[in-house]
Amino acid sequence: MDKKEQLLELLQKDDLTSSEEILLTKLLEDDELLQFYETHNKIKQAVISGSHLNYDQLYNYILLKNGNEPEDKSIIVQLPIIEEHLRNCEVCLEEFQTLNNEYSSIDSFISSPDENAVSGVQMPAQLTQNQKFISARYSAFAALSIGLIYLIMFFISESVTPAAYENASIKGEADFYITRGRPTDNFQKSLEAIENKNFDDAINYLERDISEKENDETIFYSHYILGLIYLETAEKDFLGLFPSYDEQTAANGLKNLNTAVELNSSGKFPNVTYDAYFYIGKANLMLGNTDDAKKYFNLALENKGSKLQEARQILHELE
Amino acid sequence: MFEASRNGDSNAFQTLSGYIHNISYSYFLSKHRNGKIKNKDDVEDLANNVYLAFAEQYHKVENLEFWLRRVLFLNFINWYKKNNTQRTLELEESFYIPAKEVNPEHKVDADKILDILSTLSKDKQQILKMRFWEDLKFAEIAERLNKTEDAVKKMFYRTVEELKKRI
Repeated sequence: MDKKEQLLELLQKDDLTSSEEILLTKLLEDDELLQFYETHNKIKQAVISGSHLNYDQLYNYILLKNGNEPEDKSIIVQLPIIEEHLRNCEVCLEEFQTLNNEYSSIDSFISSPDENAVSGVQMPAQLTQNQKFISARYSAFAALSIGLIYLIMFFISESVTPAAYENASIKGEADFYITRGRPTDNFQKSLEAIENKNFDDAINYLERDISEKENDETIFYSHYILGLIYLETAEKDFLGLFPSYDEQTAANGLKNLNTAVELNSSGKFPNVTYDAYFYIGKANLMLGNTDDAKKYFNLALENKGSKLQEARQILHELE
Repeated sequence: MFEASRNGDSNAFQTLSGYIHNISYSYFLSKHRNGKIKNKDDVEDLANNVYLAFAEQYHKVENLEFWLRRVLFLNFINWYKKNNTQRTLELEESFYIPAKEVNPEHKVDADKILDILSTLSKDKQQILKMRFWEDLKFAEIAERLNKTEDAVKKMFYRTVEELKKRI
């Protein structure tokens, strides 16, 4: 084994024995190897401070954080690096939050599969074999009748609802947790309230947060979430059909989203602004301002935010 | 039923694997309906992947709920990775300049090194990232890249030498 190989072998070890330390010192007496060693360490520092987390790391880290056994146990050794990185990298933090929310949704789905069952897919343990047999004919008939009535109403709704109105809906789509958020009590309580679908309380908490901390650098988050809540609650429909929007509530949503964009001027959180563009587009659709809506969907598209695909799809449908 | 499946009861296995498929399908369908999964064909593919994983692994599974959470999540991440190519590229192939406050002199060095790293070939960047960021040994890198350990060591050595001249 030549000297270069010996050095590489030593450099990949986590701990050196005393004889290996002596060998390393001896190798570094060679100028060429010493320069290699110094460059090696500089690159290592730069790579560690400048790399993003990959999906395997995020996957295993999220499993571990949620009390599930990670597939790759070496993630435990990497924990300090990963957590340090998440504190410093907004891109990875957002990715972590998105995927962690996904894990939570799987968690709640599996915890109560019956509640979360999607219509048309039968979940386990809903009915015993005998019950199934007895009730099958009646339920099939009832389902058919209800389905037929709904189908007729659906076609009527489709024919009387303009495309712009359909595309304005954010019902259940708004991701309230994509952002880092704020550590204040009021902000955190608002998230809890949103989780419980208690939007009135969430609005009160956020308005309190805004009035008490209006000069905080991150107050734009509160305006952003408040804007989303207003848009979420602006929608009125009947069984998912004939959508309409409360004008005042949609206008409140638009106002808060515009404020969020205006206040998010530090350049540190561009993704919030790009997502806000998308929802400003939706708010304008709710208010019937299709041209303004297109302008904002185009901004979301040009800036390649997380709503890029949805913005592209809506623009296509509005053409 | 789970115990019966593990003990070789084929009826129990069939019923249970049917349930696993239904839960998976229902979950991915909900993602399709809320717009996260655009293509409905993906829903069926993803549910089938979970079903196949169960068929392969059921005899080793200890806690079915934990297993199902992990496999649903793994399949979702794999799908997400494949369908968010721009973000995947950003996360897995690029270097970024950390926002953390560091000694300005070191920061200039690190910025310069990261700039140069981004001009290296994909293979060289991968080797450096695997070695330094993922802390893999040369043998593990070789296995992942389907190369010999010797080839990886040589490429690593040459890359560091190349950077030494350019820094």
